[in-house]
Amino acid sequence: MKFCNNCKVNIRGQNKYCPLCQSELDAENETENIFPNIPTIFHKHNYFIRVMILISVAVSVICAAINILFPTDIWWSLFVAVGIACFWVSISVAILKRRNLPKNILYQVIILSSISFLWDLLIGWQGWSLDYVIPIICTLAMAAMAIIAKVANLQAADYLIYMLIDVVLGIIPLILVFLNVVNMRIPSLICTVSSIISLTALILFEGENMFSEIKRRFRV
Amino acid sequence: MSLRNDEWNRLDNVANIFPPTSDERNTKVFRFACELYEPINPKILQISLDKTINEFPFFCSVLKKGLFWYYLENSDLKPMVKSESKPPCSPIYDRNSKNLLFEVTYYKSRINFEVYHVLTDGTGALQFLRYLVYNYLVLSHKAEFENKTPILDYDASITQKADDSFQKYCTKGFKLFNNKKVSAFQIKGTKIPENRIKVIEGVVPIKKILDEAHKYNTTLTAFLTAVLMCSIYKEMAEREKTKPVVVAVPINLRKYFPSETTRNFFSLMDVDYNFKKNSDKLEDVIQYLNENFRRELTKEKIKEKINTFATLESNIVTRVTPLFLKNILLKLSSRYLFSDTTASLSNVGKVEMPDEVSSYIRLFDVFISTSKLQICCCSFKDNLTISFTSAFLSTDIQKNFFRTLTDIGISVEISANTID
Repeated sequence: MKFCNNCKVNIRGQNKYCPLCQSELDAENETENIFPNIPTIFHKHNYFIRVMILISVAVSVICAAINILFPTDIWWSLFVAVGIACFWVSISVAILKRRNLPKNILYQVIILSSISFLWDLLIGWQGWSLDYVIPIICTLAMAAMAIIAKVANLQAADYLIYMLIDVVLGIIPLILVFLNVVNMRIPSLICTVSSIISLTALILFEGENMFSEIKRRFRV
Repeated sequence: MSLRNDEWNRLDNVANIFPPTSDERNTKVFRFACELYEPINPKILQISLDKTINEFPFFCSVLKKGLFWYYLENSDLKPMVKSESKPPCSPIYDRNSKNLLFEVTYYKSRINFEVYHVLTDGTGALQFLRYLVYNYLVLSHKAEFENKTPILDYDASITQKADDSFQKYCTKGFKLFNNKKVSAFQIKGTKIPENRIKVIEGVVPIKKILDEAHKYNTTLTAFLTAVLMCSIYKEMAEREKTKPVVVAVPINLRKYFPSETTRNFFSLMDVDYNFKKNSDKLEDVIQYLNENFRRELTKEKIKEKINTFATLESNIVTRVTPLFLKNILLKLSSRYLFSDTTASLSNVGKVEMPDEVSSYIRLFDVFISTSKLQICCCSFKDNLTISFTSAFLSTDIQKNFFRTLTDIGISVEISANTID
């Protein structure tokens, strides 16, 4: 035990200085540490991401500069910048939600669908986002979630709600078919058919779990 | 017996405030620890933990987000004992991964129980740690306790432990905001990097400090609060003295309403003292606090307080606001909704263990993460452990506090964590 003459207190541990007044203590009477020494943490994994962001910004700015130097009919550099931004939105969500795959998949469905719809609008509406991209993403997500749930042996609470939301989203293409905004009907119909089959399967096999999950998730 | 896997619980009334207001700095994690006289054997500790968790199945919960509210879902994750490797009160709840809301770690001869405040309060955490330490000691000294197993005096069923006592005792009242809103003096200074906290603990003989408090005809909590206020006052700049020093003191509601719950069941009381308008002598501060405590600590006043938050929670507008919006609103309004404080002081009270195992235990201590300055204290046998946690590099307030004690002849034994 050490003693601080200024504070008149006994001090346990390996402190060289008094924790209260910072005056020097006798080096003798080394006792055991009270708390483990925990070194400063360096975030190494952040380094890679920072380099990637720097490269992204550099590419966008250089493209814009080239575009200004050699003007063309369209501002192609804008597409580069928007494309890189979209990539980052998707990737950052994927990294943040990496520990919860079903949620990650659902978020990607929403993000990629919105991005494709906006791109379609941006480059003059041709309808490919509604015809192909959105129904295909929804269908793939449904399949992926079902496979992951089986393979990783997930519990109902860990995937049901995300699966259910995706299934409900999968019915939207059918509405669009009826509203005649879709030119190519096959992907939309495949999506809706898988949705209805999945929903039936969910109710039949996980019905009780599903309703209790809905109840707790939507408790007001 | 364990709870069913798909069992879930709503958060208790005060727990709702913690997820939106906790961050890397103020993690709302607190540690209750017990130091023995012998080094910890991790294998025995793990067995004791498995036994303890069977008694407290509610602690095996994960925090999940619904559309409108957070909720606790019973989980089959197994808590694992680990060697202490993180700074004290590091974040436990990670919204991106599913993990338990408490951790049991050990370092040399100490067992640490760290827990996210959503799950429990100091009294609840203490019950868990008492069971854990009790199980550990009975297991590691098998031979001695073979014939006579000591008995731990905590008689509560599993449902009583997981009881939401706010639901039970609050009635609807209408008094949404505190009438007086004072802007409290704020401690300023450089904060410790990496969101770490400085822990300084002082062990003092309980009898001496109680005698001192009784000299002023007051309680231990009021006495310590007064000493803390005076210690803060000494560090205030002249122009800041117009602002009052406000200390938040949690009240254990189990003392006023019968309950055996291990979930949150506390309320906060703010005491403020203006050193510009009043005397700066310790005895005068104590007299003022004495009055204040007597006035505030009545069943009616306390009931009014818990009804306020219950009303807020049961309000239909609050209920139908989606969670993400609720979180943003709570984060923005927490400074106005909850009082503006300078520091906090939480007295968890006396820790009691069966006599047979007490001789193996050196001390109990408790402290909590903070973005300001906080004292937590608890007593065991003849000692009171006063633990300061602080987000600031400067230790002047702690120095003033403990020097006040040594000046009146109370011996203090200090231990502290080191920050490089």
